[in-house]
Amino acid sequence: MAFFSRKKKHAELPKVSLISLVDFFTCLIFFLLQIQDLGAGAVVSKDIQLPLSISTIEIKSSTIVAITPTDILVEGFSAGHIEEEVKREDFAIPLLEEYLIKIRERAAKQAAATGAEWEGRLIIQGHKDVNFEILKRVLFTAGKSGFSIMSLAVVHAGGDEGTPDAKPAGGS
Amino acid sequence: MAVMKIRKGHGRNFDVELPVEAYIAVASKLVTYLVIGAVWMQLTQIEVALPSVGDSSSTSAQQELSLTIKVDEKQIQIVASGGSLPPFPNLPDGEFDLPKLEEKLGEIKTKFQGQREVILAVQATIKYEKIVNLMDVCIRKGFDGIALSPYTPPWAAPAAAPAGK
Repeated sequence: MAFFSRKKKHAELPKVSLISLVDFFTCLIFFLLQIQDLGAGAVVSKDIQLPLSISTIEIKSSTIVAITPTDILVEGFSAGHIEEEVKREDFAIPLLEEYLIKIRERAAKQAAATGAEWEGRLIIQGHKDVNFEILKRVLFTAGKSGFSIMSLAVVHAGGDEGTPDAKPAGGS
Repeated sequence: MAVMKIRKGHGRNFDVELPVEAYIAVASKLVTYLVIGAVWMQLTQIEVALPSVGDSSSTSAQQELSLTIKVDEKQIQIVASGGSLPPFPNLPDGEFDLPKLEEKLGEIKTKFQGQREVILAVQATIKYEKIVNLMDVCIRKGFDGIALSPYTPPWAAPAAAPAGK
C-alpha cells in the first residue's frame, strides 16, 4: 500500500486524449442530424396526434401537408382554416393549391437541374379527429396541383407487421 | 487541451495545443438539443390513391373485381362487380364492426387471391382515425392498393345536398 501511494505521488498526471471524444461527438451529431433530416415524418406539429396503424412502410422525404384540428399547413405555413374550407362549394382549396403549385415548380426545377425526375410525393399528416370531408379536399387539391403519390402519415402501432392474413379472421 | 504534432521543414516537430474543450462544450450542448428534439416514435405511411369526385364505382372498372367498401356512420357494406354483401351495422358501442369486415375480406381474398385494390368510399363525417383503422384491416388482409373516395349514403343525401357535398 505504501509502495503504491509513493509511486502515485511522483507519477505525472496522464494526458487525456480528447481526440476520440471529438470524433465520437462529431459522429453522434451527424447521426442525430440525419434522423432529423428524414424530415417528412420526423417533424410533426405539436397540434397533431397521428393515428396508429400497422403499416410498416417507411416515410420518404416529401412535401408535407399538415391538417391540425383547425388549420391546413403546408411546410409550416397556413394554407386555410378548416371551418371556412369545408363550407366552400368547390373541392379545391385555393391557397393550398397555390402553395403546392409553387412547391411543384420549384421541386421540378431542382430535379431537372440534377437530371432526376420529380416524383410528386406528398405526405399528409392529419390529426386523428379530423373528418374525411377536409381530408378529401386536401387530397383533391394535391392531385389537382400535380402531386400523384400521396401518403398518410401514421404512427406504427407494432403488432403484426401488416402482412396479409397475419391474423386469424375475426381478430381486429 | 489536445496536443497535435506538426512537422515543419528540416525535420523539426512542433507541438501545438488545440483548444478542443470549446468544441466539446458546443457539441455536447448540440447533442443534448438534438436528442431532446428528436421524435422517437416510429412514423410510417399508408399510400393512397386519389379520391374520385364523382361516382366511386366508375373509377375501378378496369380492375378484376371492383371491390368497394362503403362506409358511413351507421354501417359498412362491401360492394363488388358481382354484387354486394349485406351491410354490417355498427357495434352497440357505435364502433365499426371491424372483425366482421376482416372476416369477409378474408373470404374474398381466398377467392380472388390476385386482388389487391380496394376502394374505401367514406362518408364525409367519418373521423380520420377510423379511416386508418379500416385501412389497417384492408392491409392486414392483403388489400394494400387503397383508394379513397367520397360517399354519401342514401339516408344522408337530403341533408348533405345543401352543404354542396
